[in-house]
Order: sequence, then C-alpha cells, then structure tokens
Amino acid sequence: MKIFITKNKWVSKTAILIVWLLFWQILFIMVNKEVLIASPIHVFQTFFSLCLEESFWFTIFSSLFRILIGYLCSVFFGILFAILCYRSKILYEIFLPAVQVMKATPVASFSILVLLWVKTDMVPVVISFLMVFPSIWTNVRIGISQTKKQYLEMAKVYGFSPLKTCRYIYLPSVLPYFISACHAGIGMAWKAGIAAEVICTPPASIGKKIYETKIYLETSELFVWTICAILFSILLEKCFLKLLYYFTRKMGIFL
Amino acid sequence: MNSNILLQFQNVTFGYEKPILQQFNCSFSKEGIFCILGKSGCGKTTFFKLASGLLLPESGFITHHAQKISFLFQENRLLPWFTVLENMLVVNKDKEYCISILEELGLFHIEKKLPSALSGGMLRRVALAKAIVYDGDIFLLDEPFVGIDLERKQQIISFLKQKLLHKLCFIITHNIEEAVALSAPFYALEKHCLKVVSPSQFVESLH
Repeated sequence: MKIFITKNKWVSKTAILIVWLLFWQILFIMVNKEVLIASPIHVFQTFFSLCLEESFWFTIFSSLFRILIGYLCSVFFGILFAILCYRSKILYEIFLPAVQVMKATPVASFSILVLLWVKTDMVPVVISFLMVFPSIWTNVRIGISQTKKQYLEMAKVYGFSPLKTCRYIYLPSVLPYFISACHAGIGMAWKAGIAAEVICTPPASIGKKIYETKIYLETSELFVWTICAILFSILLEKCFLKLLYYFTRKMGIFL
Repeated sequence: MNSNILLQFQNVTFGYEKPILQQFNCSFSKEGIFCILGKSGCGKTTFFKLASGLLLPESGFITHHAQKISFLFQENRLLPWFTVLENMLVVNKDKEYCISILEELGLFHIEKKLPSALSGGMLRRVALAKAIVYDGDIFLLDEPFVGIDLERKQQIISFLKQKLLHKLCFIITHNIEEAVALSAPFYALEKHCLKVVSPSQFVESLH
C-alpha cells in the first residue's frame, strides 16, 4: 500500500479534518443516540442557525471580554510581582506559598469561593486571573534570573543606564519565557473562565449556555458551544502570539 | 593622585580561592599600547576586571582618570538578539561611524546579520569594532586577535596602532608575533607588580 503525503499544507489539513469528521459520523451511527453523540450534520445546522442570531455573538463576546480582562490583569500583575519578587527575597518568600495555593486549587473550589465574594459576572475574570497569574509570575521571574551575567557585566562596563540595561538585556532575555507563559496561559484562561461560567452561570456567557444544554439535554447545542470555545481559543492564541512577535520585531529583537 | 596618571593600582590585594594579586602596585601616566603576558590563571583578566571596576579589591585602591573604558572581553559578549549594527549602536549612536569602523576591520555588508550567522573570526572583529566605537580613554583588550587570520591580523594591528595612538591601551596576548607587530612594551603580570620583560623572556615565560 502506498501512502501519499501532499506537500500542500492546506490540502493535508483539510484531509485530516475530513478523516475526523468521518470518524465522528461513524461513531454517531454506531451509538445511534442523539442525546449521547450528536450528528455532525445536525451540529453544523445548529451552528449556522445560531450564527445568524445576534444573541449568539453577544454571548461569545461577553465571555471573551470577561476572560480577556482577567488574562490581561494576570499578565500585568504577573510581570510586576515577578520583578518585585526578583528584587526582594523576603517578598518572594512571602509570595511563594500564595502562588503554590493558586496553582494547586481546583477551578471549581475557587469559583464557588469567589462567587461568595464578587458578582457572578466577575467570577470568570477572577478565575482567569488566578489560573494564569502563577505561570506568568514563575516564567518571568525565571527569565530575569536566567539573564546572563556576562551581558550584565558588558552593560556595566559600557555604562548602560538601568533603563537601557532593561531594554537591551533583561527584556530580550525574559521574552522567550514570557511568550511561552502567555501562549500556555491564554488557553488556560479560556478553559478555566468557561468552567467558572458553567459553575456560576453569569448572564450572556458561553458557560451559562453550556449549563442550559445540560438541563434541556440539547446535545447538539452543547457540541456547538464546545466547538465555538475551541475555535475561539485557537483564534485568541494565534492573534496574541502574532501581536507579541510583531512588537518583539518592532523593538528590533530577534528570538 | 597625580592628575597625569591615567591608571593606578595602590597596594591592591585580590584573590578567589588563592591570592592572585598581593600588595600589587602599578601606575601608567602616559598614552600608549602595552602588552600584558603571563601564564594562564596568573590574573591577567582579573587585572582587567579590577581596572574596569567589575571587581573590587579586597584591600588597596584603584584609581583612574578615564571617563569611559573600552573593554574587549575574552568572550565576544555580543547580544545574540540584535543585529551586528544594533550591537554597535547600543554603545555609539553614530551609524555611519559604526559602519566605517566595521569596514576598517574588513567587515563589509554584515550590519544586518545576526551574530549567530558569523564565523568566530568575524565575531571577534565585531566585538573589537564595538570596543573601538565606544571610544574609551582606556582600552582593555583581552586576546583581541583570537580566530583572526594572519593577513587580516596585520591590517588590524596597523589600524589599532594608528587609532589608539592617544589612548592608554593594554592588550593581553600569548603570541610573540602579535606583540612584536604592535611594537609595544612587554609586561609580565606578577603577584606584586607588572614587570617589564624582554621578548626573549616573553618567549621563555610561555614555555
């Protein structure tokens, strides 16, 4: 048997997609219960009909907005506290247990706790923040501490100001660590944010829609919202990375 | 300190696990190129690091009248995330001047290349060009000709002799031909002082 692998990226990707859709269709035929496995055709029909509704897009962008706010706050505070903790050993020792707790606590426990403290539509914001903050904080702090002493010595001899040292040495050294944390974090924020929405059901949210599909046993809609969540996660990840690399190149840094 | 003195070590003691410099004294009051030699681990690079302020002496005083010091490290220490030109521009913003120095050192059309795309000899010349464009009052060049071919080396030595005419410049080398070509006094680094040596003593010290 000969296996042909095409060099065209799009052709091969489409072929892989078709294989998985076929697998889904076969699974649906075998199970033959719409409640357990929705039919791909039905799911796409539901998807296109929902796409035409204004409320569908409002729901998606509301979730996106909440999660992005939490994510951006975690990026900002993650960098800020990483710098402070690098400068102060005491602050690092104080901060470390809190970060370890954030890393280990399940989303469900956090969501219910946070629900007691803030309004429902703020819960995904806080949860996205709490899930991403530890990885940004850890990676940026490691990146700063991994900055080569050789370059710092060179900066000292050549009379670099602290600002110039940050711009030309610390920033490019930290960027690969920061980008990898941002990359992993965006997917994490999205998943944790939606999980928090399912638990707290804030108005106009993907999580609430998923929760409702469970109550009314609307499996095809559950599939649609899940597919939307996956697509937007990929889109967010790609956009954010492109933006980061664009600014990196704007600063004349080659990674 | 006498204002004519450019660099002075007074009773400097410094060591890592064992003492390297002990009650070390030296002073340089004139411009010129000086070759420094000595066996590996005798403290040549430490002497440079102390002179540039990267290391502080355990006791004694180091004083200099230089506003800027151009230090060519043993390793090239070029920033890998910037192009050759950007590496130069971080120490001197005059783009034309940076390119002209690169060309004087035989490096043409490499401004936009990354350090990772250059050979060892080219990297050494870029690092040397960076030290030159910084235009320090004192030059500390730690083995500047490593990896550079003979013909090019001669050109660079002539260029350095002309360029560093009014500077105080120390060059660490293990190569007698380089030292002779530089027509500079030879100094052997000893625990307590820098001692003037003849070319034959220089060769002997290498064995």
